[in-house]
Amino acid sequence: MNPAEVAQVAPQIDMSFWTLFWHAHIVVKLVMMGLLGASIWCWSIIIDKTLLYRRTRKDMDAFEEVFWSGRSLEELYRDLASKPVNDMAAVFVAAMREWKRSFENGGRSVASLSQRIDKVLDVTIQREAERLESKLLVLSTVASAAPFIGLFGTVWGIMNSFTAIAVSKNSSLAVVAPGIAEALFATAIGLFAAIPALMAYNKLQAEVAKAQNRLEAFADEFSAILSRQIDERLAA
Amino acid sequence: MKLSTSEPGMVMSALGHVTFLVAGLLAFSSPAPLPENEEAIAVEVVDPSSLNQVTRGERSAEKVQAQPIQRAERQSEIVERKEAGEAKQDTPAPPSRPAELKTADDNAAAPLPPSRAALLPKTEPKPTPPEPVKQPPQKTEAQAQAQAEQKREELAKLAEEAELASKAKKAEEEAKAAAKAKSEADAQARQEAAAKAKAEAQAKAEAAEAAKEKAEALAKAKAEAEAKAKIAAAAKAKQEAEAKAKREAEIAKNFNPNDIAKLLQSKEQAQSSGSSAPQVNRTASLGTERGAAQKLSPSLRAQLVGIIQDQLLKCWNVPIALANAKGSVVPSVRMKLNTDGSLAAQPGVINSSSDPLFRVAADSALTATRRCAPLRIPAQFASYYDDWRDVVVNFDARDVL
Repeated sequence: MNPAEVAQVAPQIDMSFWTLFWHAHIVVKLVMMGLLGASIWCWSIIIDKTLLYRRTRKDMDAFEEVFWSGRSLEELYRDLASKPVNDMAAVFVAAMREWKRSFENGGRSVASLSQRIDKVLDVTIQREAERLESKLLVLSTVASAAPFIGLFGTVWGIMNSFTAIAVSKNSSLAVVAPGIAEALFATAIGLFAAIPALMAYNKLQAEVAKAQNRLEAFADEFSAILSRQIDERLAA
Repeated sequence: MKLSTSEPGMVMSALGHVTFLVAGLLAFSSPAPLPENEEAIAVEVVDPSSLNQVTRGERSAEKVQAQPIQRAERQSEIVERKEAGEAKQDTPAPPSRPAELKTADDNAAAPLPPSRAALLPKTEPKPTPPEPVKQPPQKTEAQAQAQAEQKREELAKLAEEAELASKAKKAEEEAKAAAKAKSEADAQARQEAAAKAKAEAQAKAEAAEAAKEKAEALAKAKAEAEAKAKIAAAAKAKQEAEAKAKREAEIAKNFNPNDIAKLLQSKEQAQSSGSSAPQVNRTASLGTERGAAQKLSPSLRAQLVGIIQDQLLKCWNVPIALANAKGSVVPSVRMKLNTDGSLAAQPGVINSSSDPLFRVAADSALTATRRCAPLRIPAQFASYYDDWRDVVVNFDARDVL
């Protein structure tokens, strides 16, 4: 088969995304659509988390400023307890609530108060970290699985096009190429979804760790303040 | 899924993907085709059939002839192809010759000896004509004549030269004398002017006389010098001419006759003894050495054999005994044909048999072959001569009866 004939057989090779998608096998189509959905989901998580962490950082900064400004803890607690709060403020409120509850009944349960407060702080930090970390696992999963899924689509597509070659008994490149291009498109989409997901996962994970460390540091400091207060009251 | 301002991720992501897809749809809709891959070396595909159509002949021939055959210089049964290629051996060096030796070639007036190379066609191995034997005396005669003439010419030339030289000398001397006279006259005039007061008229007359005398003397001396110069020049020219003749004679005495043999050897021999073929053909057709265009197809061959056999059998007087033998004796006659269908050689019977009838049958077949010649070969077979120049025909009595 000479090149001129091939050119006549395949007069207009349309390689737009739509054509590549539309000509693909149904399995490959499903793979492509799934990967595209995963990509959309990943990006939505990335955007949401980025905004959330920025907000969290800002809130922590603001709270620390207020906390170390010398305002009385009681006053601060009254301000914060009325509305739903996050991160550092939540930790503070949880510890203060435990403190208040211990002294409400005439201070009978003061002996192991410091231990209880520590536990409460730990639990609150855990909850806050979980909130920050939620959905990051999706990014990790997509990052590791998307290339494989794309590869699966590609292998399926190439398999399919080889079968077609066997049927048509024509192995000229002009006949083979579109099928392979379609198949490879699946891998392309897989990588398209996986690469941003992996990068964002690493970045966001680091942000979560940083926030958690900051909360723990604050909790330790606050616990120290409270335990001093407890010891003073017991001594008094 | 709830859409909130605090979590705009899904909306933004969906919008971003749609934008990306649309951009991709626009940008990748038609990929730029790869540059046309050109072959590094232009290759012309020649299929075997068209290769076979290359006609038989020589590359250097002028045109394709109607009947493409190769050149053949000699007639021979064995076809021998010789290409007109480069010479395989070195040409012997030309003989040494003193530069001053006169040769007949130098003189246009002397008749040129017949060139051996011109007489010998390059590829023709004919016996060389015995002309070169005559050459030496002719040559020496011509040489002597040429030498004499040359000498004469040279003498005349020398004399002319001498005359010219003396003339020039004379003119020079004259000019010198005139200048001298003028300067002297000037000096005299100056003296005259100084001694004007003394004796103007007398002095003038005397001075004029002296000047005249002097001029006369000078003229006389000049004439004498001229004559002397002329004689000297003539003598010199004669001497030179003599010396030259002497030198030439000396060289001629030293002439080595072996040089002639050497000279003859240096003329390049014909390198090719000529190709041979059953028929002499002086002009080759344009083609290649091994081209084989005119091949008889099996059907054409059968047709041709039929035509030949028909003609021969018509000429054949079948012996009565053979007619009764019912085809047990079939002599095969081999004949060699020329392009016009005539016999190129005596036909011969190629098979044999112990049957007593065979002798009779073979003789009658040969007679028929001779009687039928020349065979009429249709023009369409003319170009396939190589295929039918050697034919074997079976004389089968059953075909005739």
